Amino acid sequence: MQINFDESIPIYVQIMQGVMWDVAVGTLAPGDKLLSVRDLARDARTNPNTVQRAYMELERMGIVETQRGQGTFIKASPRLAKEVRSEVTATAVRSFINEMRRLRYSNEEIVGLVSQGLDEVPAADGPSAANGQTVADGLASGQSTEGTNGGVH
Amino acid sequence: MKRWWSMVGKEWRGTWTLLAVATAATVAFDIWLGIKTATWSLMHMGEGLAVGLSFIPFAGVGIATVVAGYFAMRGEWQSHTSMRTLSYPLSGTAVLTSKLAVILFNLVLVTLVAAAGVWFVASRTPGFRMMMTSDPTFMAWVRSREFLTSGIWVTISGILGIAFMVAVGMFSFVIGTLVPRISGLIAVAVHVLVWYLCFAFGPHAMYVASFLPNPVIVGFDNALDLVRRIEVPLLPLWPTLAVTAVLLLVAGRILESEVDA
Amino acid sequence: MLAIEMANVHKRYYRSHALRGVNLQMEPGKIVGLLGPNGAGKSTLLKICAGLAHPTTGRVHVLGRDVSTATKGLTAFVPENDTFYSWMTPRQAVAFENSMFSDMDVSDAMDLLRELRLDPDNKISSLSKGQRGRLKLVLAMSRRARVVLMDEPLAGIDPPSRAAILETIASRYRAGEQTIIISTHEVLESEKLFEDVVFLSDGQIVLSGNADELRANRSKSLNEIFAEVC
Repeated sequence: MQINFDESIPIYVQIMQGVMWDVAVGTLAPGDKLLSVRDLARDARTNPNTVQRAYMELERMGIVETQRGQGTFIKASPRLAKEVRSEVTATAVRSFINEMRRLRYSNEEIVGLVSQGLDEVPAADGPSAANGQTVADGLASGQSTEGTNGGVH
Repeated sequence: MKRWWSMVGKEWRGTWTLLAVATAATVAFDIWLGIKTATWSLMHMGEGLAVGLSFIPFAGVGIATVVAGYFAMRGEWQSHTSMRTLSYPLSGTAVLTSKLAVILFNLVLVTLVAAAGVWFVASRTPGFRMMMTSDPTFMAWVRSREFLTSGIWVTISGILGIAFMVAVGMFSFVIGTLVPRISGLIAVAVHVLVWYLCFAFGPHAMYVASFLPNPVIVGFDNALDLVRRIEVPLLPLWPTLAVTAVLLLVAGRILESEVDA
Repeated sequence: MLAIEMANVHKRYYRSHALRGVNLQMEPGKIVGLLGPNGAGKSTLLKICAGLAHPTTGRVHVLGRDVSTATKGLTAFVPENDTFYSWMTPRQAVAFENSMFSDMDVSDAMDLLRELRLDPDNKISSLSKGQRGRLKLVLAMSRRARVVLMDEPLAGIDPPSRAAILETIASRYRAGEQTIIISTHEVLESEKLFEDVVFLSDGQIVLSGNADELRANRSKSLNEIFAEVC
C-alpha cells in the first residue's frame, strides 16, 4: 500500500482510503490478508491504535473482516471489488468536479476539459493498470513490429 | 541488595583505571626511593631523607580523601550521567553508599600500598633499622601482646575516618546543588562548617562516647627513662560512625526528594 | 487509573518559571505528543514525571502514585542529552539496565540492537550521535515499562536514524499496556505517531486532544496547529 500522507487529514481516514484504493484497483483481492496492525504502523511510521481504528471502520463498512488470532482480511465477496471501485470512483469524480467548480468552470467547460485531457495525457501505464500489466509486459507480448512475419520495415 | 551491588560494580568499573595509576605511581616512587636510600644515607643528614620522602604519597591520599566525595558526585553531573544514575529505583542513600564503598576501597588500598612503601624504604635504609631497634618505646610496643589488636583498631579507625571525610564531601556537594550558580561555593562552605562543628562539639561527643564500650589501643611512653604502658580508648569512634551515618542518610533523602538531576 | 496526573504544578528555577500551573490528565495506553517550542517546559514536565526533578508546588501522580523511588521502576526515561556511562559497551549497558530494572527483556534488547545496526561490543564513547540516539531507544523500548517518557528523541539525529527510531517506536509500542509520551518541537516527521497531543507553550498547556479529531475539526496538520497556538 502506497500512501502519501497529508497530515491535515485524519490519518485513520487516509489508511482507510489506501485500503479501499487497493481493493478498487485490484492490488488487494477478496480474501487477501492485510498487513498486520504492527507492520503497517511501522511502515507508515504511525500509531498502531490509528491503524486499528482504520481497520475497525473498514470492518464496520463491510469491506474487511477480522479473524481473531489470524489477522484482518478483505471480505471474500465477489461484488466487493466492484462496489469499492464505484465508491472510490465516485469520491474521485466528486472531488475533481468540486475542484473544477472552485476554479469557476461551467459544466460544459468541465466536459470539454476532460475530453481534451484524454487526448493529451498519455496512457502512462499501458493497457490496463488493473491487470497489473506494465509497458514492459505489453512489449514482451509482441506489440513490437520487429521479428514478426510480414512486418513492414 | 542486588541492585546496590550492581551499582557498586558500575562504580568500580568506572574508577579502577584511576586506582591503577595511583597505585603504580606510588609503587614506582617507593621503589626509586628504596634504590636511592642506600646512597643517600651515606650523605651528611641524608639518613632519614628517603624515609621522610616516602610519606609523600600519604599526603596525596590525604588530599584525595578530602575531595573525593565531592568530585565523585560532581563527575556525574558534569557528564550528565546523573540523569541516568538517579533514574534507577534505588534510594538516594543507596546511591551514595555504593559510591562510598568503592572510593573507600580505593583510598584504603592506596594507603596500604603507601604504608608498605614506607616500610620497604625504611627496611632498606641501613641506619634506620638500627635506630628503631634501639628505641625502647618502639621495641616495647612491637613486643607487646596487644600489638596486633591495637594495629587492627587503628586500621579500622583509619578506614572510618576516611569514610567520614568522603561522606562530608558528598554531603557538601548535595547541599550545594540546592543553590544553583554558586553550588561550588556553598559546597566549600558546608564542608568547612561540618569540620568546624566536629571540632566544636567533638569533646562533648567524646564525653558521651566515654560511657559506651570503646576499643582500646595500647602504646608506650618513655618519660624519665621509664617505659610506661598507656591505654588510649578510641573515643572518637562512635561519634564518627554516628555522624557519617547521619550525613549519608540526610544527603540521601535530599538527593531523592529535592535535587534536580 | 490515569497514566499521568498533574494538579496545578509549578516549577520555578533560579530565574525562570518553567511550568506555570500545569493541569494534566493523561489516559493510559496511548502515544501522546507533547509539543511545544524550545523553552516551553517540555523537558521539565517529563523529568518531573520521571522523578528527576521536583515540582515547586503542585501534585504529580504516575500510575496513581506519588512520584518516588518506587515509581522510577515503572517509568523509562529517554533523556535529550547523552547520559550513558561512556566506558560501557551497548551490551554492558543493557546488562546494567537489566540489573537495575525488573522489567527488562535482554534478548529483545539484543535483537533490537541488531535491527538498529548497533555493534554490541563497540564502546559507547566511539558511537556517533545517531547511533547513541538509537541506543537510548533500545534501552527504553526493550523494557516493559508502563510509562515511557521520551525527551526530543529525534533532535540532532541524522535522517536514517530518525526513520529507524520512528519505526521502532511504531512497531515496538505495546498498545493498551504502555503509555509513551514524546516531547518534540519538530512536529512534521513525528506527528503521525501521536494518538493524543498536548501543546505546551511558555509553561502552560494551550491545547490538548485527540490528534485525528483536531485534524478533522481544523483541516490542519498538527504542525500547522502547532505554528498557530505556540
